[in-house]
Amino acid sequence: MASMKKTILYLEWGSILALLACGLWVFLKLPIETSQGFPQKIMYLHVPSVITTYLAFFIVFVYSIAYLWKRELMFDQIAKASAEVGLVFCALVLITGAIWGRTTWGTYWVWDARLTTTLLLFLIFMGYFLLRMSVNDRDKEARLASVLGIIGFLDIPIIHKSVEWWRTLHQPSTLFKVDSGEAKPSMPPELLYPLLASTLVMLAFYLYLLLLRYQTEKRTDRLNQLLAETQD
Amino acid sequence: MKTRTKFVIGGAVILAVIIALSVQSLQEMTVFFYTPQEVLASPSKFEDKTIRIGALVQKGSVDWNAKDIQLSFNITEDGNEFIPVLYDGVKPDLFREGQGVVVEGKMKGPRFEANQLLVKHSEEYTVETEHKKNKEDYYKSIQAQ
Amino acid sequence: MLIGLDYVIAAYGIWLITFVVYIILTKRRLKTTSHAVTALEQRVSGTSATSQHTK
Repeated sequence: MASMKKTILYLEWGSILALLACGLWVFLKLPIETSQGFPQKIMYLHVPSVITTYLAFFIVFVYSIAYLWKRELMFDQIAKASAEVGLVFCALVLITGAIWGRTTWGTYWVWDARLTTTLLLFLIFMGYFLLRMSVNDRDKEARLASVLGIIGFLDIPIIHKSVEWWRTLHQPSTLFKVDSGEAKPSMPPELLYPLLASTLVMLAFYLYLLLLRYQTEKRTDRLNQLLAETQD
Repeated sequence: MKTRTKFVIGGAVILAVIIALSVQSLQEMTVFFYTPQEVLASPSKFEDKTIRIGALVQKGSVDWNAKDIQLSFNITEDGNEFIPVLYDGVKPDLFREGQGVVVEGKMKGPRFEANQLLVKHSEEYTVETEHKKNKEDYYKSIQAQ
Repeated sequence: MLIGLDYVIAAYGIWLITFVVYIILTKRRLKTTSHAVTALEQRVSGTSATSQHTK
């Protein structure tokens, strides 16, 4: 228990300081991208947030399956914590994407496949929390939420592939570009390395938020359990 | 029980929105834009209908009339077949020759009258060496604009 | 002014403010639930101790 507190504290300070360092790197050291100019800096916020959203909902997927299999309350608490953090990141993906889109495309929003399926992901996990709130029985809540969490995650491969499957305004992936079987991000190293670094740092920041949120989830369930006991 | 029904209603509303979104935008979503070839192949199909066309801005075809705020250019995929576009509006910052664009509007005879011009940027990111060396000069050059 | 500076500031600003608020809210929630749990645990152990006494 005490070591958990320490881990959270280290992760908190480590990831926040590293985020600041990445910000300084991006704004003070990086060259200006040729075609987009200064607004390309939004990429260092948008793309790491996207990858963090993917990971957060992947954790929901894994722990939802684990819950349905083992019926361990802890798994559901982790899934719930990760879903909430993922939802915050997903909202920020939509917001930073809209702002970036305004400067480069000339519009905040279009109903193309990439944007629509991302909005769908956000709505599914809004529904996920409404579902949780609408069920009073804790085990039933966990069971139903696990099912929705698994279904919801399946939207992510669709989001990721949408730019290849359909014609979209959104450009294809830069980071995961594959050329004749080889991974070839279409970016010069001086723009790519800070992007990879910001992504790693943001994942650490996600881990911090997940553990913090998991603590509250554990306490809340313990509190409800105690309240039920004292009422008996 | 009362709050519970509220949440059930909330959930139903979200579900309805999701379904409506998917049905309404499925067509739009899967074919976000047509290509010039598709439009030129069957002009009667697209006449007077609001559509989007995605293509590249043909080199040497851009005519920007700042006085009347009118932009005209040709869009093409292969450089041979093209559609002339007339857009009543401000030229976007990133609008360039050879750039991918998506225009929304109607075919009026052989010409496309656009009411929206979106710039499609590529997934390629580049840094010019001169910018690397003289970042300050670059900042100054944009500030001077 | 730098082209697009306002948009970049808006994007980074919104991101930052969102997480500052989120962390503050989560920590406050953690604190209140922790206090409530310890208070209740003491009461439960207190009552069970007295009930054992009466036996």
